[in-house]
Amino acid sequence: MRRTLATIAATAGVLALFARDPGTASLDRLGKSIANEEDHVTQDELNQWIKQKKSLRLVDVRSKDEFAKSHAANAESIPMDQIASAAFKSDDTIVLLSEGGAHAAQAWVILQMRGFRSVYFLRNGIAGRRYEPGRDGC
Amino acid sequence: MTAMLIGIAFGFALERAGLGDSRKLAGQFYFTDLTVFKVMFTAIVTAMLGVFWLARLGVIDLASISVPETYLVPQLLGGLIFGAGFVAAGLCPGTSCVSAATGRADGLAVVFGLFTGVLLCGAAGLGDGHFYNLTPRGTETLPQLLHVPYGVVVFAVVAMALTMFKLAERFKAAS
Repeated sequence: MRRTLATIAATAGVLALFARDPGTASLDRLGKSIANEEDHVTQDELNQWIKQKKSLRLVDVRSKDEFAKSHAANAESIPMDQIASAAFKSDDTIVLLSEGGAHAAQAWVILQMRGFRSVYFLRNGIAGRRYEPGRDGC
Repeated sequence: MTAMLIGIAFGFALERAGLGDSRKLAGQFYFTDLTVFKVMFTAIVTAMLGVFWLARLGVIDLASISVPETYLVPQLLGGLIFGAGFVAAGLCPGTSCVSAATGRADGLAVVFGLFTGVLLCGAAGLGDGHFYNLTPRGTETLPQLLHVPYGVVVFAVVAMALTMFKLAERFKAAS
């Protein structure tokens, strides 16, 4: 019995050397999330979430200097170069903010690869919010 | 409910493997009984091969599996305290519950000590998050750390386990 189990384990282990990395399935999932537009929130959706979600974290990925000049209320600064090692809880809902949205989208990919699922970025970024009619900036 | 059923099954399996007996567990550290080593390595290899191949066959999404984040210094210190407690008591938190459930006094004593330690840590303010968040490394896995493909790590761990099992059998036969 033990010899049989050892043989199965050894075979599965050797075959793993030649198997395609199963992580590529995760990349497929990321691609589908982006195609289905499940990766971002609009400003109106974000306003609703701020009222409703208790564990919402607004993460501004711009530099510390840019953050110091102006930032959204309740936002916290985690610059792009620190996103890969920043501490988050698995049940946090994270909304990423950047000037135009591109860096926030890149940070979204990093956090998805780290295993966080409730991650979104603000469509059109802080600049889009700033130029929205009727708003007075961040 | 599901968690409770899995917990009962896990506890039953631990007890049947003899891991509710502190002498058996302490024997690991004196190389007189390698049951713990064999049980744990078997569990690691089974889970690793299962996750790898189920993900490879598209049955599960690897990214949907939560990987705990690494905080190097707090976890090293925690590991040292855990190991010292394991040697001293002959039981770890899981097996102490199994031992206590079967009415062993040493199991009850370890469970009491476990919760006393948790309460003292909380009362000492260690739970404020500052220390726990030191030296964050993210959800780092062995393939990322070693910069090798996932399959190579799987093969290496299986090879290591089978080699160690063989050595453990020879050690047992010789002693």
